[in-house]
Amino acid sequence: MLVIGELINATRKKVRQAVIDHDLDFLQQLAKKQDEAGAHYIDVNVATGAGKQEKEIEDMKWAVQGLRKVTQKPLAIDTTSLEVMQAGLETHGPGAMVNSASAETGRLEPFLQLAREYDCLCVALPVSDAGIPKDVAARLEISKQIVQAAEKEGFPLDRLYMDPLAFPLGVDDQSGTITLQTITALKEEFQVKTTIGLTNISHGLPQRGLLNRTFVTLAIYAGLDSAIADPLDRGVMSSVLAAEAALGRDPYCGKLLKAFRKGQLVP
Amino acid sequence: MSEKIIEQIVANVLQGRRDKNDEGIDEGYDGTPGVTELVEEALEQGVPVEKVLGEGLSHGMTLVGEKYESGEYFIPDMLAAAEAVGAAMEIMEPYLVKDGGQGSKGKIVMATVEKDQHDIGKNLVTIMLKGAGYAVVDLGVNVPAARIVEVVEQENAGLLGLSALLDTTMPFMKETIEELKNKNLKDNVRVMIGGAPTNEDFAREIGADAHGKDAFAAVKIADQLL
Repeated sequence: MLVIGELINATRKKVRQAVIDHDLDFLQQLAKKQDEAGAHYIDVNVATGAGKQEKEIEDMKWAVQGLRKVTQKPLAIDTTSLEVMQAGLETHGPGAMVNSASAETGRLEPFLQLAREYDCLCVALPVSDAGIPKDVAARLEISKQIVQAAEKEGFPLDRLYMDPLAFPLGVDDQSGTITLQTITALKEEFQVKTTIGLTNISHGLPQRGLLNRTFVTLAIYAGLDSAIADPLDRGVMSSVLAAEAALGRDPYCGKLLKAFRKGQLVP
Repeated sequence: MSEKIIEQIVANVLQGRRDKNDEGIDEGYDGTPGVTELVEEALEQGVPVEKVLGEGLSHGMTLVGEKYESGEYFIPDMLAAAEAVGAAMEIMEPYLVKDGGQGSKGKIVMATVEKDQHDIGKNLVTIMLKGAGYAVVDLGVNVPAARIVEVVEQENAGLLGLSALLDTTMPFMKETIEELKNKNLKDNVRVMIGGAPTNEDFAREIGADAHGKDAFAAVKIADQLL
C-alpha cells in the first residue's frame, strides 16, 4: 500500500497561512513527520486562492525546493493547473507523482504527457466536463476514457492510479459502497492501480478515525493499492498493515512486525 | 389543539422523521406519525398554512441548525430533518397557492461556477434553503457566468448563491458578479459565495455581499439579505 501523506494542503488553515507567509520551517516539519511515520509520497498543495496563478507557480517552486531538502521521499504535486504542475515537476526532477489528471477538458492528455516526461506516477479522477459521475457504471465509463488516453500517450497503466472517488458518508450514506464497488470493478476491467482520498469518507461525522480505519480495511480487500491519507494517524496506518497481513500480502508478516518493533502499531 | 400539533411537527423535524416508518434519533417515536403525516393532519384540522410553515417547519429547522452549530447534530441529522421538511413542503404547496401566498420566503438561484464539478456543498445549501422555506432554482455544476445571469434575470431572484471548490475556478465567481454589473442587475440581486477555498476577504474583494462558511450560515445570510 502506497501511502501519500496529505497534510501539506493549503485548504488546511495553518498550512494556508504558512504558504502565504512563506514559513518554510512549518512545511518542512510536516514533511519530516509524515516521512518518519511511513508515508511513501508527500503531497504538496499550495493553492491558497489568495493570489493569481503566477503566485501559485512561485509558491509551488518554493515549497518543492524547500521540502526536497528535508525528505528523500518523492513529492506528489497536487494542483488542477497545468502550469503549476509543470513548475512543480521541473523543480522536483523525475520521479514525483502527478495529482491529478481527470477527463475534464485540458486535464487529461497534457497531464499524462507531463507525467510521462517526468517519469511520474499519475493519479487520475474519473470526472468529466459533465460532472462527477454518481454510480459505478458512469465512473467506469469515464475511467475507460482515461485508460485509453494513457495507452495512446504511452503512459504505463501500472503507474496510473485511478481514484474511484470517495465522498462523505455523512452526505450520502451510499457513497462508501459505491466507492468499494468501483475499486473492485476498476481492478477487474483495467491493469491500473487505485488510490482514494481516504479521510473524505468520514468528513462531518464523529469518531473519524474509526470510520477511516474501517473503510481503508474494506477498501484494501476490494483492491485498493494506495491511499491519500494522514500518515500520523497511527490507527489508519496500523489498520493498513493489519489488513495487508490478513490478506496474505505481507510475507512472514514482516511489515507488520517491523512497525510493531518500532512502536508504531496501535491495538 | 393546533398548538399541540405544531409542537409535534417541531419535535419530529428535530427527530428527522419524514413519516411513521422512520426511527428518529431518540427512543419512543416508533410508529407515531412523522412530519408529513402531521402536516397533513394539521392542514385537515384547518391550522393556517403560515403557522404550519413558520412555527412548525421553519422553527424546527432553526432548532436543528442550533444543534448542528453546537456540535450535538451531524450532517446526516440535518439532512434527515431537511428532507422531512422538503417532503412536507410538497404537501403544503397547493394550500400555499390557494391561500394566495407567495409560496415561499423568496427566490434564490444556486450554482457551482464554470469548470467546477463539485456539487456536495452546493446541494447541502440548496436542501437547507428549501427546508427554510425558500424557493430555490438549482442550476447544477459547471455553469457559465452568462447562463447564471440569464436565469437570475428570468427568475427575478433576490439572492444568488455561488459555489466553488477549486482555487482555479474561484475567478469565475468574480466574473459572474461582473456580468451582473454589466447587465445592471447587481442592484436587484444579492450574492453570497461559499466553498472550501473561499473566505470573507475574497467575498469582499470580488464584490459579493456575503460569504457562508457552511449550509446553516447560508440560511442565516438568506434570512438577513432577503
